[in-house]
Amino acid sequence: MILRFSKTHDASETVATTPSPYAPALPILAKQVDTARAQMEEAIVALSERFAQIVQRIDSTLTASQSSKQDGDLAAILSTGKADLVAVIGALKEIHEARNTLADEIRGLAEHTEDLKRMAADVEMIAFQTNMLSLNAAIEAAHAGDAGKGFAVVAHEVRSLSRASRETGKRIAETVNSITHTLTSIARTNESVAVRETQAVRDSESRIHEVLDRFTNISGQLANSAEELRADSALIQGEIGQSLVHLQFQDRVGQILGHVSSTLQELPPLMERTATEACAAQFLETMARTYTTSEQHRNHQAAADVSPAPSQAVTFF
Amino acid sequence: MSAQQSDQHQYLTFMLGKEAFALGILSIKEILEYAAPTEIPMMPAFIRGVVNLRGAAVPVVDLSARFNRPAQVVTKQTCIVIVEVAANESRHIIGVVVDAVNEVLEIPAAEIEPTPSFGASIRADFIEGMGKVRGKFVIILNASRVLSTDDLEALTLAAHESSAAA
Repeated sequence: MILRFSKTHDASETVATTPSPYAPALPILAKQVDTARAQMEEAIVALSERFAQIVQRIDSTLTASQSSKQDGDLAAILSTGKADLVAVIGALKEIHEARNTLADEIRGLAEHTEDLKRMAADVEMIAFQTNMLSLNAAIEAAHAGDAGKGFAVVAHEVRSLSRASRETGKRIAETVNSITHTLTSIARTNESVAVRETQAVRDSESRIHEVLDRFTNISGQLANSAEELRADSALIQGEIGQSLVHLQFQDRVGQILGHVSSTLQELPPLMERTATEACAAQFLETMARTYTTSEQHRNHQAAADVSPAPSQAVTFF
Repeated sequence: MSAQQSDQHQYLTFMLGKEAFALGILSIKEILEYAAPTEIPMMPAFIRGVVNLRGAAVPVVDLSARFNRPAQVVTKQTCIVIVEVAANESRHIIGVVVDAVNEVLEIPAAEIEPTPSFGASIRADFIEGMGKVRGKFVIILNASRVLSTDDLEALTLAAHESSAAA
């Protein structure tokens, strides 16, 4: 802003001047500056608010995803899973043991049936010899003629007895055989089931271990990802915080623009009055007194090669 | 029926292979469980050897061989029937190997059919007749013919020789 001096006056005297034709432009400029300032203020305030909100949200997310609670849950699930596995495998092994016990008992039974077979053979042998005895008795009775009649009857009865014993012996042997067959087939079934069972238990065990391992892996990976996410979020939080600091420039800009606007508004009435160099210098001094930022002071210094440096101390906000 | 008559009609039935035979009970002394006879060399094939019967050496005859059949296979049912036969003026004790003994029973004369003149696989003079027992036939053997004189001498000689050696 350059003040016009009339050529006829000297610098220290108040001189009558004509108002500048450019004066009406100043209020308009002042208004533009105000509008710009207002809009900038509004926008930056809104931006700051949103940044503040983002920071807040990140903060709450970080607190929510605090590792200690989640990891604890995961570990608990894992150990419960392992305990369940041990219990299931234990139960299956018990069944297997029971099967082995059954096999042993069947073997024991088989030995007993061997004894029974031998006894049945003995019974048959006794029956055979009794039969022989009865035949010999019959022969003696026949040779004894009449005297042997009673004895012949005895011999006959003994013969019936021996026949009955032989039948019994046969039936015992048959029963023992069928028992042995049944026992053998039970033992065979038991054996084949036991083999399949062992295999199934082994398979189940290894598969469950696989699943638990994969689970451990994935939860480990998840924990890592969560950790990375937390780190990144903290970084972002930091960046946004920095940005917020930068946005504070708005404050300085607002101040500078405010000063410009008010100074512009002061000019028109001054321009209508006569102005001397002294008035102009005073005006500049007043202007300088309103400064709150170092940039304003620097600019003032650089442009005012005709004006003296301000003597007052700079007041910072 | 008199005692003697009923005696004469009592028989011991036994098995040789799948066939049923019978011997009159009067010629039978006793039945023994099978024991392997001691072999005598240079004897006819049907003479198995001798067995010890309460100290006496009794020769043992294989009836299947006597009837020109394959030799008997010894099972747990095999028995030796001790028979007494008369030859000339002496009586001889001989053992006969049978595959199994069945029973002592009565076959009335009415139930005995004469020997068939043809078709029998055994020498006709060995057979006394065909006895009907419960609808089936048993071959009633003639003990003295089956264990004939000619062979008996050889048997007696064998028995004496083995007794001397024992």
